[in-house]
Amino acid sequence: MWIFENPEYLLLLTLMFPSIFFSHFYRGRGGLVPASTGLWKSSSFKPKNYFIRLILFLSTVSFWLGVAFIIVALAGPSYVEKEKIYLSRGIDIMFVLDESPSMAALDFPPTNRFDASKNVIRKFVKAREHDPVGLVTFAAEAALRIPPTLDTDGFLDELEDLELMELGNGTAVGLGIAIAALHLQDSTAEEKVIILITDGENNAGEIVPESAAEIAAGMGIRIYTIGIGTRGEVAIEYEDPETGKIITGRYDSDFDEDLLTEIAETTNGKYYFASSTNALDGIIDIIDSLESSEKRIKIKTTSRSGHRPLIIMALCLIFFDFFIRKLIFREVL
Amino acid sequence: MMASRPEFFWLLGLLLPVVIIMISRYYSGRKSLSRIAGLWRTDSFFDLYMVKSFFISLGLLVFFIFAILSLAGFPGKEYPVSYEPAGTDIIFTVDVSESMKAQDIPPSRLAAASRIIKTVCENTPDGRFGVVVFKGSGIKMIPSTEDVESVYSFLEYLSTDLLTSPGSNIRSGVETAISAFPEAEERNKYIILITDGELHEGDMTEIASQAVDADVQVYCIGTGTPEGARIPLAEGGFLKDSAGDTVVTRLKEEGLRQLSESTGGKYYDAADSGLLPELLKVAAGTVDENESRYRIEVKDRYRFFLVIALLGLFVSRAVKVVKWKKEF
Amino acid sequence: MDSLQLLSRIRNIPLVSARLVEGFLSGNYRSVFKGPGLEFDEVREYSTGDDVRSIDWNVTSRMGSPYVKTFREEREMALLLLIDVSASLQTGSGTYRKADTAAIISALLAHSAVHNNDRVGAVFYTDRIEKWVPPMKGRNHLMRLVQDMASIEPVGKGSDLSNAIACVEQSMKRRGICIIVSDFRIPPAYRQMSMLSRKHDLIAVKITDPADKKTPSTGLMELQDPESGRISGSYGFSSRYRKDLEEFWLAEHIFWQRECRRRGIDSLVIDTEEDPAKALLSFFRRRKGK
Repeated sequence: MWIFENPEYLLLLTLMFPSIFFSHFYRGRGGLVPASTGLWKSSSFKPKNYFIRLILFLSTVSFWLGVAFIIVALAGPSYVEKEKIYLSRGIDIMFVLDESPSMAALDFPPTNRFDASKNVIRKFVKAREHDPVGLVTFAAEAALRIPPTLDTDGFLDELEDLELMELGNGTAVGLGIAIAALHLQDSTAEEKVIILITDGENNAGEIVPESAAEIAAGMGIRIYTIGIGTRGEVAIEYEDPETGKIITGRYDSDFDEDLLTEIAETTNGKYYFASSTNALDGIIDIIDSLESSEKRIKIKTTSRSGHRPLIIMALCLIFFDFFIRKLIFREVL
Repeated sequence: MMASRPEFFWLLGLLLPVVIIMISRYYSGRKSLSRIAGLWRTDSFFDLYMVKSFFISLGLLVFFIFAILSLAGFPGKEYPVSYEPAGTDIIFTVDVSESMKAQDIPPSRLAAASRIIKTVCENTPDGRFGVVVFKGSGIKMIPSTEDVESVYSFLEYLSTDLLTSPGSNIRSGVETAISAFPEAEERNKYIILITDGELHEGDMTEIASQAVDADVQVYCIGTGTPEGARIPLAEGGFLKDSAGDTVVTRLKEEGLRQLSESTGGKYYDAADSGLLPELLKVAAGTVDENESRYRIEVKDRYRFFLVIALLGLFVSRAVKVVKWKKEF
Repeated sequence: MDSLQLLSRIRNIPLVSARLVEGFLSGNYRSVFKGPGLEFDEVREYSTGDDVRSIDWNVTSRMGSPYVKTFREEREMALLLLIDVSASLQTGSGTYRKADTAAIISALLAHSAVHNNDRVGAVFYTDRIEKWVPPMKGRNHLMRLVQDMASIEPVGKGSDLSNAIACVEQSMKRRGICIIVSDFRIPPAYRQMSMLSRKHDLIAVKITDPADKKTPSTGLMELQDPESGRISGSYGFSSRYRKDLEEFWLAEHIFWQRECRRRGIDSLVIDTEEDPAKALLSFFRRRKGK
């Protein structure tokens, strides 16, 4: 936002009107050479040098424009930015996302479970501008994708690149939770949350989910678990990252609701079941509202003065006028 | 008194042609006047012309001089701005060009870089770290995070094979690093740049001003030696150029030194034993308690000069426009 | 040039150009102007070649031999100077102003007239009648007139010749000589001039300036017309501007000359750089030769 530090200087602009009048319109002004240029009350000579007159007009305009710029520069234009500065520490949130092949099930129209999860994560992250968010994915193994960071753009870029099946075929829920907990251990946040999104049963990994949950609980981490998918047979379609083949088929969907409930309860979290896109949206909204922290912010104003470009322009304009008049047209006075 | 932007003083050089034009215009103007206004006019008319020309030119000169002075600007009023950094953000910016493989700093330049990063991370408890690597261009590898584990695990993969684009584009690296700092927080922001590359003058001033705008201090660590070192290849031997000569990389520290100093940082040599303690002190932000609450900002004093410039312009106009002795 | 300098120049005229005045005016004055009427001079014996119509039959019969009347042009003619003192004459690009030259011409003419014991008067006009000096004889009157020429301070700025002519027509009932001294930067008054020329002997003296013929090369400046106050840029550095301005004044001049010739008004052009006395001399010589 542009403001003037001392707008009272702008009053000088009004002085420009009498100045222009006396300089160019007042007949009693000085600097005029008396010379007869016509017959009294009859024909008088009118110079036809339209090009020269145009140049002179532009030159005069540029002079007064320069004066106006100087006056505006005097008023101290500065660009003031109001920045929100967070004084409080946000909540560290780790998403633990299942990327096993079953997440390709097409029961979350218009897309599959995995993309539906990505969409809600994206929406969640965008709304959490001051809470560091990280991402762990798991299938047969688990890996940290993004450490908890405030760099929302970086997070979203990484999320976009996520693909199914990069970590093999399996569902290592315990490993996912453990990795997430590991990367939260250095966090200075008072509250730490893991949001687990999965559609299957733990069938891989060296760590049992229950013990992983206990570790997390020991670190003061709350785990929200979201089971997604519909029960029964669902269509499935995904691209194998190794062969590039599109695999389609039917899959008998089922997941271990008890396990997820237990994990949630161990860590003081909560279990949700989402069988549709809308339900998933709603659940994320609920978690969002549950995990809201008190935000203390201050508004930092930074101002950057913009007088220099104005003065440079004014100098150029007035120098242009000087140059045209004195050097090109050899002005006498 | 030192000007804030002394480079504008070069404009004062324009005054010489201006004065020459003014003087020559006075004499040619006198001739013009005698041609059209006639020789019968008394000397007082030409005296008037002389006096008027003098004051008009003087006013204009005053305008030019003081406008240039106001452009240069002089540091004026100081005022405190509250500043309470909540911690330290460090983005490590690491050169992963081929030359970082050179082993003049044991075990290798890159390994030395990795050691420095690890030490800083370990010893800065409430710090937040990110890693940017660059070769032909900069890539953000680890976003700013408190999770040092992720930094450590990244360091295990740190090698010159991370990026494929050839070169050593420090500018792109630093730009990426500047953009990697999270917004909306007041923290001490440092870039620790570890490179053996060259930084050219033009790039230097531009990134320096970007860094200053973003309130980022750049600390540069030059790996390598001015004498140069050869680049070992995995299959044994050293990297050769197309002519078959062994490539020798030399450290050119001048640009790095300027970059760090103009952003309020410092330049270190990787071989310097005092490097780590000093760096840790910086990272820990050990500053005086009172001092850290406020930061002194200085406002440029330019208005005074600009008022005089405007006055000069006004005088020059007024002298021309006011008719003297009902004559001219 | 201030009025004091001008005055001294005019005062010097009797001394400096005494010979000129003696030579060209006193001798030729009579014949240069056709007088308003004839005045009986004397009767003398007829000699061959005399006009038969001029024989005075009364004297012839009394004396027995043929006598003729000789006549002399009527004495005491009135010379009236219509002197333009408008602001446009207060300019001049050369050594003198147009007004200076006008004053010298007027002074020369007035001098000659007084020298011949004629009456001389003057109308100083701008857009109004600035001063009216009725025709009178004598050195003292001349001195006063010359003083007026040098020191008049006009109130008006423009120049309205028709106004002055109207004034002359009212006050000069008998035939006389009228000389208009002006730069003719006036609204056209040719109709009034030809009316005047029918009644009086009229000569139009136009004072020109070297800059009218050749616009000097100058830098950029602003010119103010002293009469109208109109301000216009002067681009003397542009050859096109100079050509245009020269053409403007030339057209004006040609028009003036043609109108004068068409209406039978004797015209004389004197440049400020010329010697007015010489110019007058050659003019009157030419006129006598007609």
